[in-house]
Amino acid sequence: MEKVILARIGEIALKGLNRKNFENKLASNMRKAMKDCGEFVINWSQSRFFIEGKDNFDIDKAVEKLTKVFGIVSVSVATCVENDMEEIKKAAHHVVEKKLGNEAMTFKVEAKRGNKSFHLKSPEICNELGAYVLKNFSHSVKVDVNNPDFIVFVEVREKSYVYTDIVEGHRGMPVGSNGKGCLLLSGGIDSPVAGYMVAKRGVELVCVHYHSYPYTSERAKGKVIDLAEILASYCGTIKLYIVPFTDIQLEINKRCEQSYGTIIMRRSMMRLAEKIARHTGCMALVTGESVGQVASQTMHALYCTDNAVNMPVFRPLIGMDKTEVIDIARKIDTYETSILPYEDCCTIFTPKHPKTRPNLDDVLKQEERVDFEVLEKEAFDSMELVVVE
Amino acid sequence: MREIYFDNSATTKQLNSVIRVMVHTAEKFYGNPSSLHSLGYEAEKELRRNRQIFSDLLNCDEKEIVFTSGGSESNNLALIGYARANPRKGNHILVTETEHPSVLECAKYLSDNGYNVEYIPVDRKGVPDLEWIRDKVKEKTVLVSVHHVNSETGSILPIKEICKIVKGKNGNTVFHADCVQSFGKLKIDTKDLSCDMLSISAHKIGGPRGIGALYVKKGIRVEPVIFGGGQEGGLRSGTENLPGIAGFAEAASIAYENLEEWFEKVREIRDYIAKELGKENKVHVISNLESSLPYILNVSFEGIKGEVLLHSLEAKGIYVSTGSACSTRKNKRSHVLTAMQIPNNIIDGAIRISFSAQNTLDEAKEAVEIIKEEVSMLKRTR
Repeated sequence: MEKVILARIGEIALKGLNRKNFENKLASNMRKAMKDCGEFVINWSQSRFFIEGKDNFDIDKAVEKLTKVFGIVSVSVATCVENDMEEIKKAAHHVVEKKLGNEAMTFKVEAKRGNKSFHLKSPEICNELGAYVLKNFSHSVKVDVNNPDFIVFVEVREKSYVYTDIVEGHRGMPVGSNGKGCLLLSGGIDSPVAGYMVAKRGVELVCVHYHSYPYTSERAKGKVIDLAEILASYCGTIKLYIVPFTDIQLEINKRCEQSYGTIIMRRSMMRLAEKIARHTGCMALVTGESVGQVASQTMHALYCTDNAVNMPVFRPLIGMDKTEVIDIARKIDTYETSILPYEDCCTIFTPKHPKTRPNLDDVLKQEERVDFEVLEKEAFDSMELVVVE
Repeated sequence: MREIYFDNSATTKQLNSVIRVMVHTAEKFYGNPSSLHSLGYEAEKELRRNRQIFSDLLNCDEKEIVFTSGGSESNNLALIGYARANPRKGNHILVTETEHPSVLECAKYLSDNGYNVEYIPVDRKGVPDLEWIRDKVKEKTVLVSVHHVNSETGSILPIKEICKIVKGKNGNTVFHADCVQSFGKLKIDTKDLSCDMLSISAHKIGGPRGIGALYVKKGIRVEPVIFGGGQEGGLRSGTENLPGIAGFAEAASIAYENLEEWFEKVREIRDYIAKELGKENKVHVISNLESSLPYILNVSFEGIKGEVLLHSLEAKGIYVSTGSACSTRKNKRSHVLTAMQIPNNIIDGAIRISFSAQNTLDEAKEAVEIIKEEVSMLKRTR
């Protein structure tokens, strides 16, 4: 009996005339995600995608990859047979046998008859198949329609699909269906989560990291590449730009008042990110800021950083507190990498008493002391590109 | 690019002859010493030949040498193994505050399991207070563990004297010396020291990683930490790492042959660097040049973070280390320098420069110039 992966889509199914574009994008993203899983063919109709593998297809690995593709709501491995009740029974026998352990279990059957030419109606399929399973596994199963241990799902379409398990995906929209955004990726807990949330809405990510060697180490840079790799497992290939930032920090530290150091540094980071965004065709910046979390993320500080650029700045974590962010970081598997101790190791540039309510006019006046145009051009010209798969 | 490796107390580059010996041993003596056939017997004889090298160097019986996976395992076997084998001899243990984590963590484990562990304080030179020890050793004291040379500062601890004091107070107290940083650099004679257990390791002296040994004096009862086929007199099960052991023996033999010559050579390098850097403003030479092992030099550059200096030196091809993880987070400072009552601002600026006989005076001269440059560059930024 043939095994097929069923992938369900959510939001895309609600799209109108441009639905095709979303579906094509999703199929292309699915192909990329499964490129190391062997040969396969993808078909789709209505709100289902069907992946049929060849002999060398690693179905378990493919399921794992697919659940991370944005746009997919859930995935099941189904046994696929012709639209024939005897065949469907055989398939059900197969999946139930696999499901059963040593303990007795309760079950029910849920049928969906998409193909109205099939001679039995959904409740009739349930009845007949339920009776069949009960008879064939009389020692180990009982019916419980309210709270069963497992459900035998049957979908009658062009062919019939029988399965028991549904693996949740990350939902969202296919990456690339919603333009490009430029993520400021620090290596902390927040920014990878911010990137994940925006990518989930179909935005392709370009990442920027500021490197202050020797004040931060090569390991800190390696850690950011690791984080970009985890993000790439959701959103495909990521371009990561690593910008040498030491000279800018040294100049700020030398010429500006200590308490303004952080806000001026952040403005410079935003300007550079905007430059990279325009260079790579991004239409927005993305940051992991959350209002009030630290001195540089107060309302006043955000007002000052926003003022540095002429582009929308998306801050998907703006209303979240740390534990909520950590929950997502754990879910998407970036947390353990984010908490490695390299980043922020040398807080040499952090002022003891940063301004929590910086005034924009004062910030602009302080900024005049440093020739940012020249320094930022130098930094931009010497940035390094890492393509992360 | 230039490469000046001054992090030899972390690990050393393997000597060429060590690599050759290991390859030869792996190719020729691939049998399992426990196998009954002739290939096994050949391997067993080779193992024995190597074991004898160590018993000669340490002046002990070959049955008193237990090969382990390295210094950490030797220390674990000594502390945990002895405590477990002698549960009724007493429950008091003394270790120095400035021990390696593999001793301190064992001590902590024993402390969590009912032992009364006390930590021997050290002075500004990193040397323990002998009177304190004399006062503390009691009838219930089962074990005293003291390291021979400190890995962060090079301080030499008078283990022979300490052992004598301990034995004078309680003849039943067992004395363990962690000689990982001193083996192959200072003469170590188990009879002269009259210690009961002694840990050594290969990769600090040009040997391979993953191999070390514990000397256990005849009559001292130790329980294994790793159980299995009963190799190493039952104290350390697992098929013997013969290429590693042969490489270790080669490295140790070479180190002993050249002991004095290399000591002088390294001392010259260390003294040069200490003298030149010591002239600079706000530089503190933490290692005591008279009384410490020249293979290790700890220097602090006040006002600079050690880790930042480490990375800027690395960019110039000079590799050193910091004892402490630089951070504003508390309690991350070097436990050794803290125990020596070095002020925090000086601990933060400390780096460890550690040598091997493969280093040269020319390297030292080049390094001094670069360190001076980098330090003044980093100071300007503040």
